Amino acid sequence: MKRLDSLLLILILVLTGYYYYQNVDKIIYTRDVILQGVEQSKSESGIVRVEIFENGVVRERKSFVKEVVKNSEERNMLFMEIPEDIPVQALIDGRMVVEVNGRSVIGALQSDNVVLFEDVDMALYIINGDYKNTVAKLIE
Amino acid sequence: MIFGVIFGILLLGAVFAGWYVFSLQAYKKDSLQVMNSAHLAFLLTIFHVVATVSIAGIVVKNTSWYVLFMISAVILGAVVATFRKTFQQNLMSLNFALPKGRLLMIGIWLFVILQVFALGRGILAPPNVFDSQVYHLPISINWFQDGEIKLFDDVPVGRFNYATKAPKMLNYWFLAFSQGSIHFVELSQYFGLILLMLSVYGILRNMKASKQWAVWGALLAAFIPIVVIETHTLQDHMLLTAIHFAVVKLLLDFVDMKFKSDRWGIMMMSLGLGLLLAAKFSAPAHVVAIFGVFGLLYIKDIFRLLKVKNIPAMIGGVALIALVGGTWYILNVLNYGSIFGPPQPQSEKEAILLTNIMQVPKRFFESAHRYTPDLVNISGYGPFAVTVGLLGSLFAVVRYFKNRKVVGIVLSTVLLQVLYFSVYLTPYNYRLLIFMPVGLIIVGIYYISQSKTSFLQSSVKGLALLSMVFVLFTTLQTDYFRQPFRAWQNYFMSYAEDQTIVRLDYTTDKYRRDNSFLFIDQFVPRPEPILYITQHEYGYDDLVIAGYYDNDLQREAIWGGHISDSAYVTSNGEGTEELVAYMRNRNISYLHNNIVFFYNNPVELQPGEEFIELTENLFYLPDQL
Repeated sequence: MKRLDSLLLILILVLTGYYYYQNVDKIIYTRDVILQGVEQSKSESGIVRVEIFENGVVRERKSFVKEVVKNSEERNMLFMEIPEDIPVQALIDGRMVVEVNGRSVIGALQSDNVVLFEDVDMALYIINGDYKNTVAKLIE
Repeated sequence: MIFGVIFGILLLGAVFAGWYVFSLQAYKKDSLQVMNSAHLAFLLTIFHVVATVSIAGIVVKNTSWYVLFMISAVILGAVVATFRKTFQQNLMSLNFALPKGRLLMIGIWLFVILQVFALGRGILAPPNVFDSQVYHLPISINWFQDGEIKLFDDVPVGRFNYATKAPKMLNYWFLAFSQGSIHFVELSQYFGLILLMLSVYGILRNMKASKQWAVWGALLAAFIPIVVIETHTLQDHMLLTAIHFAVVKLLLDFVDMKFKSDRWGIMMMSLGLGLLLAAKFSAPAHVVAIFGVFGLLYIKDIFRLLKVKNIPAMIGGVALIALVGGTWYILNVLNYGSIFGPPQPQSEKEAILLTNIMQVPKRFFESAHRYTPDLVNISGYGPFAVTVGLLGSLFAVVRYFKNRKVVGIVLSTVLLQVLYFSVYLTPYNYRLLIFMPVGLIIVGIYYISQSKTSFLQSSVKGLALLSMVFVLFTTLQTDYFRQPFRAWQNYFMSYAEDQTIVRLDYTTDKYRRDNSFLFIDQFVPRPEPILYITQHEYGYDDLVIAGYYDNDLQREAIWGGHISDSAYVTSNGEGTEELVAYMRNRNISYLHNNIVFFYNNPVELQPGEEFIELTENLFYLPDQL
């Protein structure tokens, strides 16, 4: 019986080695997700709540998570991404009114895909499409 | 909300206690009576929830939490009243002492850590698996919003009607007691997980494995990757597997004459069978595999039942099976002419058995894909089952070929796998096959537990811990998010009321292609109902329905029919005369075109001049001036 058990153990060890060898990528994937998280958690981020009205109907209060960057004048630059099919034009032409932290703000179309809402200590950029490149350009 | 959930869980505790005392009467007094009774009591608790929700929804037609409470109180009161003289004394016989062993304690702590993650994930995040959003969750939501359970209705997804409903009733328990919070609904998966662990433990103890090895078996079953993943979904495969092995255990108890009488055995096995059939509409294959194999192996014991005095119990058993499980199949025959509902396009393929068998090595060793709830081209069995479990089972069959329990579990598991392999081939079909790793673990652990070789036993315990650590780590992130950490960070940093189904999931394929759901989630006021029209390819009604709902189920989503036969939209997408009248009469301002996962040129809606297009596929009907 001992011989049979020894054979079993050898086979188990071989098969176990093969299994883990085949599955190293799962460990690497999870490790990368965790490392990516550690890296991202170092960057500052924040939330802005916005109320939007349209056609006289109050829309839900929203929270958009975005990046917050301090510019050279120590002013916060906030970046918000909205779904691509919400036209940024609608945010400034009266079809949608945006409130930030309970105060109405007036936006200005800065480019085809960016609306800027300026306040005393912050500049909120609502970006529609091509988020990464647009943010990079704005920070520059 | 949270107090409601706690109340619902405490009520389940009381229900379990009541059924435990009841179950003690079913088993003979021996060293396993307490364990056997606890196992049976948990199965009866599941039955209790299914029966309570059925009575409330189908008979009383009021699915409020207090109706569930009152029905439960009446049933529980009857049980307590029956055993009032010995209730406390019997209840005290429950013993949760764990066997000793340093490695086992590490395993138990790993299990605790795993459950902290799984439970936390299940509660903090809403259901985000595709099937959950197509039908598992929407069925329970319909019951919550309608206040009743309709056995057949006009529905956008066929499975609302033809799916067996026991798992949805377990979901509903938490939906009702949390008063509509989608955050607690996944707690229902613990019915399956706990029953699975109790069943594995019970079978191993029945096979004369030591307490310590039986606990190892239960822990390892809980560490099967797909079991871990399903604890934070609404999938029903784990419950199906748990009841499968609960029935196997009851059968072994019966042939070992553990029940006080054959009548007890017949009634309890019938209950298990009924629940098994009610768990999923593939359950008949499980019944065939279990009773086909064990029936042949224990043919003498079957004949033992054929006595005149057992006839009333047999009639009662058949009635119980028909009522608990058969109902759903009878309804399918009445509604669709087939016990499985309409034909399934996925099962109409050729030579699938051979293809499935050829895929076994690749699937078992899991290198093709990472862990996700869909298990794309992998098995989700994890390292222990396909190494120690597989080899231990092979050696067990060789060494214990006269042991009918070993042979029965192995043969019924293989037969069931072949049955599934014969009819079902998709990259995702191994979700249904959780019984295989559980069977391998039971038989593999049994072999190791009977070994007299201590180095083999110690090595296997070490490998068991290694596999637990591997599974704990690799199942931490199992979603389809493109940037997983960013997705979770965004979700958790948003305000509680914004932590919705769509909010968590909007970077995945479900919502990325069609932003209208994100628009609805963010901009449509929650009390505003939405009328939606559906489009899908024939036979593939995989429509995302759960995306319409907010965290507290305030929003109502009303189905306006499939575009080909809707009363409100013509087949080329134009609104009919009835559309505006219907919406105005019902105070509905929003019209949605539900085309998620419909790739072949879906029809664009053009509802009429009265409507404003808010975004692609979403229209707003302003009030009349």
